[in-house]
Amino acid sequence: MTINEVSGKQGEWEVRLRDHTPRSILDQLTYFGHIVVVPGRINPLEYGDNLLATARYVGVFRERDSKDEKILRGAGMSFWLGDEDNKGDILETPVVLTAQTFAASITALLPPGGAVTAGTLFSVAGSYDGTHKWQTPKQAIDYVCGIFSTPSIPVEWRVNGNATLDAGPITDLYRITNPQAIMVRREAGRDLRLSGLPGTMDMSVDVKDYSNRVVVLGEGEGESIVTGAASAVSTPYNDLHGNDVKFTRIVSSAATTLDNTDAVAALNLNRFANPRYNLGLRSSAYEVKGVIEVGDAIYVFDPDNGFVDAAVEQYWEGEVINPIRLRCIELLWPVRQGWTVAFRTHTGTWLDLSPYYAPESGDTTVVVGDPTQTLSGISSEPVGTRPDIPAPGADATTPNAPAFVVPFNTVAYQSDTANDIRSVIYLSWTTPTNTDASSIVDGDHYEIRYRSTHTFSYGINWAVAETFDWDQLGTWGRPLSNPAVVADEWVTAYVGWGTNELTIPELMISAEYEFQIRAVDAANPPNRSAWSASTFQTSGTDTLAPKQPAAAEVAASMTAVQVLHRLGDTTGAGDYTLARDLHHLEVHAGGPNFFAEESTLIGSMIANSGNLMGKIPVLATFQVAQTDNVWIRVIAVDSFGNKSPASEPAQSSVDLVDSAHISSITASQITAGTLMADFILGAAIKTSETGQRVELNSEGIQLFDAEGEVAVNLTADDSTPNFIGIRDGDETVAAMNADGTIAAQVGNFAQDIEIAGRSFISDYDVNRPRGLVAFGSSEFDSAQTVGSGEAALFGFRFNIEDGRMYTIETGNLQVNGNTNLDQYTIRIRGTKNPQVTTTSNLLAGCGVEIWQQNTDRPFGIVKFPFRCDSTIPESIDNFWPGTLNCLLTLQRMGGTGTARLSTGGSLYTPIAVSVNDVGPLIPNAFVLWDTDVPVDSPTDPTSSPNPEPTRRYVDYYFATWGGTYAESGAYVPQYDSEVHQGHYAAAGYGNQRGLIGFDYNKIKADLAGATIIDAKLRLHAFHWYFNAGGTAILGTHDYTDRPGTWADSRVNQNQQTQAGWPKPGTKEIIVANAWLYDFLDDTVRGIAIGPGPSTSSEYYGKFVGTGENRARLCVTYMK
Amino acid sequence: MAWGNLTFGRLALGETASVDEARNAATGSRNLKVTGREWSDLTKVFPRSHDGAVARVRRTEEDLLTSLHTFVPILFSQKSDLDGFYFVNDVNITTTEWVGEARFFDWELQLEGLGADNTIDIESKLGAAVRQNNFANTGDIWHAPSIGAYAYATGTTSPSGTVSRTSTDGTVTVYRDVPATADPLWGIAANSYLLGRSRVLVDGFERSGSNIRITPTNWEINNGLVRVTPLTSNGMLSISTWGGTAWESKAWHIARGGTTTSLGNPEAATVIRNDIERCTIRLVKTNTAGRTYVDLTLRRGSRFVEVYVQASVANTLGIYLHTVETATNVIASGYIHAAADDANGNRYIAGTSKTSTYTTNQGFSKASAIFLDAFIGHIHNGAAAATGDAAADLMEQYIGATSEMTAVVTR
Repeated sequence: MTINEVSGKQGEWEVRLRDHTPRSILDQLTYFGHIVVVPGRINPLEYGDNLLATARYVGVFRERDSKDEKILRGAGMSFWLGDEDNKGDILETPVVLTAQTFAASITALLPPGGAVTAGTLFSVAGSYDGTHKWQTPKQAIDYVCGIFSTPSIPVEWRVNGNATLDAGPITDLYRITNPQAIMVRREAGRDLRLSGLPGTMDMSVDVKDYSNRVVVLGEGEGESIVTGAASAVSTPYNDLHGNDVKFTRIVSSAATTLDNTDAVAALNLNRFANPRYNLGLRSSAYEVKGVIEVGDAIYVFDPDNGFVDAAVEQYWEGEVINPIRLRCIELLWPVRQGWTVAFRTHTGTWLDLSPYYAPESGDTTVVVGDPTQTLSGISSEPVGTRPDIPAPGADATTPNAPAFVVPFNTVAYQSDTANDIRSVIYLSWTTPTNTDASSIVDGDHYEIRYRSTHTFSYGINWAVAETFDWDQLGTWGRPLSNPAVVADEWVTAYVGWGTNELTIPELMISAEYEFQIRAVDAANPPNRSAWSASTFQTSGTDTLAPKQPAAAEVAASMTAVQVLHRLGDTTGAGDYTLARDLHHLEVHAGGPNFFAEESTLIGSMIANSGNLMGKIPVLATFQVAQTDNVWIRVIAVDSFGNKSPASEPAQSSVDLVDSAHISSITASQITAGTLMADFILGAAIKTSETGQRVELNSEGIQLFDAEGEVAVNLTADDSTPNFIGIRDGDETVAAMNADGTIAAQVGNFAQDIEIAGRSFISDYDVNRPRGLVAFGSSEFDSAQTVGSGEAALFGFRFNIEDGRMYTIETGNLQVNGNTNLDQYTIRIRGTKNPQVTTTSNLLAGCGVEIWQQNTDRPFGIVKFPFRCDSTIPESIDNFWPGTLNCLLTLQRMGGTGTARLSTGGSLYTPIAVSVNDVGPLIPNAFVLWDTDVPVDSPTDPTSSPNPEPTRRYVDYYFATWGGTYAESGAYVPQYDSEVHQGHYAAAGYGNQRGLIGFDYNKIKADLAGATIIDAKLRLHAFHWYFNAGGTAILGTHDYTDRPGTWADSRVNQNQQTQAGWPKPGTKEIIVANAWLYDFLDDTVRGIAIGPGPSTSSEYYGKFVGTGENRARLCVTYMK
Repeated sequence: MAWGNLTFGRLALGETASVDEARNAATGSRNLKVTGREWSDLTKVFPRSHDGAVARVRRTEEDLLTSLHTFVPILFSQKSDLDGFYFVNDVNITTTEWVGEARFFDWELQLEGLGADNTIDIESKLGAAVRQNNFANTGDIWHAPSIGAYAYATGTTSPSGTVSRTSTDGTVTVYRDVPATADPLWGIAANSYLLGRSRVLVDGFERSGSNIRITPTNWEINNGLVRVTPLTSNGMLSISTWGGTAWESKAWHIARGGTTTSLGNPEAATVIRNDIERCTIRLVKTNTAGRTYVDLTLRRGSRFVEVYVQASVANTLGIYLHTVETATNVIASGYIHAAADDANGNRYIAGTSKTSTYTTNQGFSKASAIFLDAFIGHIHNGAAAATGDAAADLMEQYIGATSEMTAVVTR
């Protein structure tokens, strides 16, 4: 439910009722009843009409709508004074007020029918004279409040929830002097008597409407209009030359008497004499109505944007600030869960809608503006509507009518636009003077208007028409009609002053037009000359011959020639390109090079614009004495008898005639070289009766090998298996069987392979160890150490990749020392720096002691696992991607001798180091262990107070139930546990949807306290409407087991879409971790499929619920 | 590889080897992404006496999060070429606590470079109006930049003069009679910006955020000149002045319900403002009818703490000394002060902008009031106070203490 309250306007509200609202309630929601909103939950039946005066909001019900939910809409209580169309309890009987007080005036203007009664009418100084008729009470009360207002004390009104009207100074009606709310950018907080509104503010200040003088045009017309004016005491702004800026605003207020014009002027000056402050706040504090209501003042402090007023001092969070005081002019607020929404019917019966309304969750929007902006309705007429207002500086001179220069020029032409013959007329005229004989110095433009007189001066004579008989002329009416269906209305053209000519194209040919012209000057309002006397002009006639037509298509029988023409010309532009004034084609026959003349004419074919527009070729058969080797030419003739050049000749031949026009043939056998057809209907089409062949029949397509065995069978017959065998000689090298099994030799895939819904690349390949990254080995002994210094023996380097784990490991390293009991350390050092030295980071090491001097013992091994993870800082066990430079060293730590790494003189045990990629990153399993408590097995946390090490789990949860539901919500039992999605008209269930359930208790128990790493949903689609697959629509539900009805309130549908789902195909897709977390508080217990977001067949598909290929959730988590 | 130190405003963080730098193609701004990890002290993990270190991590997390949308000076010990002022566009923290063992958090700061200290100025946007008062006091609009500020400019009209005050951070220069419409502009080295700042200490540690966790009995605000701490007995507030080597204190009460009826120990305290130039702590006290707020504000360079008391129900509100000390009554002009120097050579002073009633040798009060504004401080060096530190000067400075917002502007 959302409520919009606007100062001085009726606002609006909307309530959405749940689908399960009882009919008994809905039937009682009568129009013009009242909706009542109260914070918190009470029983409205107990409180009754007492709620009206105390509720947060009361509105009038006047609109009902229905989609998935029932929607009620209405207006605020000021509706009862007159609605937005100024309908209402109109004051039809004049209300005459003479020297009336404010309270008496308001009381007299209340709705005569009693819809609103007087509430608290505060005292306002002054009296009022005026008459109100044909106005709504709102218009009248607005006006009276405006008259009683002063710049310092605006007077307003409001309609209360109990349909009483309060009116008076705004300081009495609203919290103006001591606002209870403050807006400070990026600060919220709350003092004892002042609440900061948290949220996002949009601030603006402008002087677009600034005026320092207002002139009011009151009642009257023309020179009798009464006026009033008010000017600002001072002007704080200067123009470029240092003068006070001057902005005078003209306000029309036709209902204002002379007594009130100055007051209205002062009132309007007050509206516009200051910068305009606008501020909008989107606040997450949904219940702001406790501290601010529409009409209340509010503090705003943002010095950077000019929202500061040195005259206002306010302490805010310990500091004194100087905020500006503005008024709330609009509130848009949602009604959230847990409020009381009641309805009072027109009979006074109370209904509790609280269980049925749909709560909203949006922000509250507070619009704050200048308090003066709330003044309205007193002077909103546009000045231009006032009769006979002389424009300032009006020009009293009027132009004379211009005179055309006659005769006009006219000519016909071939119009590319119309593909027809058209005329153009060229006009010119002389520049006029004013009626007082003065020169026109403020000319603005000319207006030329013209129209057809319906008089057509066609050049009809018998010479033109002699080639036609009456049938060929095709009409007993006007024989050569150019389109002449024209309107009687004038068409007006405008020409800028200084230009004295105009060309009017696209006119009918040989038609008479009437022309008039007048001059218009630039005065405001403009002065126009009278229209000139009419001048008549007949447009030019058609003297243009049609283009040469293309050659005809000719066929002949033994006795006649058949001529077909597609009305194209020879320009190559295609068929049907002859001009639209085409009337007919002359057909001439003769020898190979004959000239078309009267003696060669064998007939005519009617061809006109209908053929051209409808792209209908003309066809006619002419009896001629000789049909073999006859040449045909055609001549195009237009409606005015103009003839084109003859077309190129076309030759006829008898051989081609008789096989034409066979619409049906029945034969026991047809032998043909090439048989061409759009389609062939046959019981079976075979390339051979036996042996290797292809056969098409009602079952499908079969390929047989040389032995007559079926190698490929593609069929739509469900009782016959499909299979494809690919052979190399007599060896089958690849096959696809009816059960979907594919066997082949080698597969090449450009992108990826999905195995049981999992990507080979991203799910399998990336998770495997990649093995050796680097290897170093020496068959020779190392250098000998010197003293106690650390000897650098072997260097090696390798690249590491982000997101991987590695080990560096040496082989058995033999230390050959020359002094017993000396101690040595074998180390591996490493660094990302290019230079690795014996002072680089120590990665790992091991110590050995010489127990048999000058022999190849003892042995030592150095091994070091580490990771490459750029998402965390580098450390001794983590390096970022790049090259890691390492060094194998040996140092004496105790004793006196020297030593080397030995290979037994290149005989055995080489000195070797290998670096292995051991797999992708896995979480650090270490926990810090407290040594102060008894150490116990970390796998038995019950006996140890130490924390159990976090472990990584991968658990699978299979569907336990599934089902399909019709668009009506009803379960479709015939589909059992299949889960259908989308609209398929033949199914008859509308836009289908489905539910899948899991062992939610186990999921909940497993995930308690866990950190989910990822969650995947595997589904198998065994059908889509399109072979290319479809798009799955996924969501969640909270059903414990399969319900009989799908209810939207239990389903959070369309949370994720997955396009490109193959047919058939299993996909395992990653779903939001939040879905699994929601298992913990029982808001999710399973997966919802569909419905489709539209009825597009893209969404029609079927999934497996339970059984083979059943749905599965795979959750990886740490716990 | 040794880690460096990153001084992020008032916070000390570990400096990592890498930072990400980028120029925003749309705005041209220079952006910096800095990341790192703060640990509780690992050396104290074994044995487990490491609570203090864990608390440090918690404080740092909270302060870091509250730095969003502020500008801070940042100093790098290893990449000093990046030192300068930055605006904090985004803060991300991932916290891990191994209960009873250790705590650490990975942090990431998205910063917008405002400039090195030689390329920018600090603009102090001052309110134009002085405090409304009943004494026709026109006020002294004063302002104190950070210690080390240079090129202090107020437009074509300069302040009437300065007064130098010795603080724990060094000598603070306070400009007096700043033109009413001026927004002073001044330069400062990034490593000096914090000197002379107002600050809030909780449990002995300086904090840089507001609306942070705070105990009502263990906090402190000071600006190097004045320090305010709570008392649980023999006074409600200890208000001290820096004597050059030590803090010199007096105990005060907030009165409610009688001219010398102490409000008592508050139930809660809240840091509602914690800026470099000003900090405010709000004390909340339950009363038989309703509640009382006491807002304590300390500005950079100020000789006094400003007090604003709000009561939900009208009552007698006032302030008074815990230990009676002979006063000179100038309450007709809005203030009182000690008649003679104390053992440290100072004299207490307290005042208000509104007409109030003198409480002999202790303070003043207002009857049937729902609010009381006041200031409490010291006349440093008593009879030998410097010009600008005398009683009448401080009263004028209270009246002329205007709102201040600070911004970095390109030079």
